[in-house]
Amino acid sequence: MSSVILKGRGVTKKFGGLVAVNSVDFDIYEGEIFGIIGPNGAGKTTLMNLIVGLLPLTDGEIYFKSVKISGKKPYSIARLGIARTFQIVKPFKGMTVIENIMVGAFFGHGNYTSYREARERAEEIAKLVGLYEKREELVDHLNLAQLKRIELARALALEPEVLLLDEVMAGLNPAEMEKIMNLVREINAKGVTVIMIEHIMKAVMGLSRRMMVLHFGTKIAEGTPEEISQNEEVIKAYLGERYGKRRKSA
Amino acid sequence: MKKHLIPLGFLVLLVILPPFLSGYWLRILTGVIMFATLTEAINIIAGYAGYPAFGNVVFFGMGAYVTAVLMNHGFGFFLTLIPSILSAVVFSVIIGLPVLRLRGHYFAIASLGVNVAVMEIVNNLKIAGAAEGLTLPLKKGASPHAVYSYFYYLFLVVLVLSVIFTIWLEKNRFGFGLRAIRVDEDGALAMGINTPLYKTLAWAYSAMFTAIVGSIYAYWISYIDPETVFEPIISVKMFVMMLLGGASTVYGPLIGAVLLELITELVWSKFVNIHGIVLGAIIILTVILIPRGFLDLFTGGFSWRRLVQNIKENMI
Ligand SMILES: Nc1ncnc2c1ncn2[C@@H]1O[C@H](COP(=O)(O)OP(=O)(O)O)[C@@H](O)[C@H]1O
Ligand SMILES: [Mg+2]
Repeated sequence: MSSVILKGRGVTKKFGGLVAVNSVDFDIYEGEIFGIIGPNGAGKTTLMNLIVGLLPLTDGEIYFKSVKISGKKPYSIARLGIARTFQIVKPFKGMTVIENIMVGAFFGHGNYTSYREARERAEEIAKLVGLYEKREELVDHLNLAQLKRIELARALALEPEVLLLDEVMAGLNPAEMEKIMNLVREINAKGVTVIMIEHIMKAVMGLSRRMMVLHFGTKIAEGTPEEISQNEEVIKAYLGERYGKRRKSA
Repeated sequence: MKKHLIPLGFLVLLVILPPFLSGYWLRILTGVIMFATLTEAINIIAGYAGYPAFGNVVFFGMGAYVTAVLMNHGFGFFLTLIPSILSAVVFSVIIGLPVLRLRGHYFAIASLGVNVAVMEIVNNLKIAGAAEGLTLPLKKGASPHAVYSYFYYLFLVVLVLSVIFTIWLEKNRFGFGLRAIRVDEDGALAMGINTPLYKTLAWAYSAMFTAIVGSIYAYWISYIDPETVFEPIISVKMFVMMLLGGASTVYGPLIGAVLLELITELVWSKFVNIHGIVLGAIIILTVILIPRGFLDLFTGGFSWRRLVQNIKENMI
């Protein structure tokens, strides 16, 4: 098996009395697509914010290739090679598609300092995610599916080693979902480790070989999609009693 | 390159114009150029980076005072520019560290508070002439017209430098970083942008040019007091000019400065007691009619449709 690229030990986040992430351990291996699932409010986005440094940890440690990153600034973590997309898309409004992607190229791991270099890199990525035709349009005029691609493209422009996707599938129709899944496969094939957060189990099942389940901030299961879908606790907690009963009667 | 041709034409015109101007028009144009530079400078922090620096005039006043005090101690004008720039830059960094953590209105109010505080300090500072102000040595020249032309060109050189910087910024990663910060600071952080550093640099830059203009202003007018050079209305004017012409564009601030200074001179001077009302009306009309500024209305040809659309979008 390949080496661990991202490691968490006892990762905890409290908001006042609420424990949003409760002593979660994880090991993500280089080159894999790792899934994190859990119902709304399970703490998935919070965990991602902890990894990229947008929130300080209450307790625990996170390592990227044996370098401790918990406590580092988000921009340093991004430059080390960890990029993320936002569940609630955050396009840079007032800028064009290509300019949005260029931000990633300028400030990422690749460190393209000249306008020309950054632009060329951004154009390559625009082609990859299927936004090349729209490159001169203001992002203000794009629809949700296109904005999700902007999120992806900007993160890719950072040339990350680890890419964290926060519900890139949410709000998309099945056809668009299929396209994004292919895109994620393609990105992963280029050697990028992908962490996919979804609350729709199905979206992750087809992509990940390994996944973990969060419920009220706690990791309740970890394993292959088959193991997860058989796990009684997951079925009860995450999929709900009704689904469990239906499975038994089926 | 093309979009810089018309401005370049105007620049040539501005360079050859002074010998043909009356003293009155020379003074008005000098004022326009001065405000254009101030607005170009505030545009970096307030326009590109989106931090509404309502107290930016504090750097203008600092520059003016550093030059006034030092010239009264025998320093030559150009020599005073170095401490003028240094004091504004250092001050902006020191207060920027805490104040730039605030966002939106909070930052605007805090920066205004800093301005008022500094004004009060200078008001009580013996070496700066306290509330009575300071007189500066007069610039000597062959004729009054030559002296006034001298200041006109001095301001013009600084304006050109600040415009060149903004043009560079548009295509530079620093500019991309600031524009990202304006829209979404968390997004910018996640994209690897060192936002605290970038904001500080943006404000320091803004402070530097504002202070240089303040220095030249003091020498030009040759008398300053705290009430005039720390006047918050000057910041408001910079803001209105920026919005009027078009924030975070290279030439918007210049257009805004021309429009508002001309309105000021030609209209307001006749109705001195309603300055505030006129300024307020211009702000409201700008925000409703041309939220992206005058420049935007005319890029790609003037269209009534866009104007009507703006009204529809911005009326409650
Ligand atoms: N900044 C915050 N302040 C307070 N509570 C928060 C904050 N962010 C998230 N939470 C809470 O933490 C819990 C986990 O939220 P989140 O991580 O967004 O869940 P998920 O992404 O799995 O839907 C929720 O109960 C949410 O209300
Ligand atoms: Mg979430």
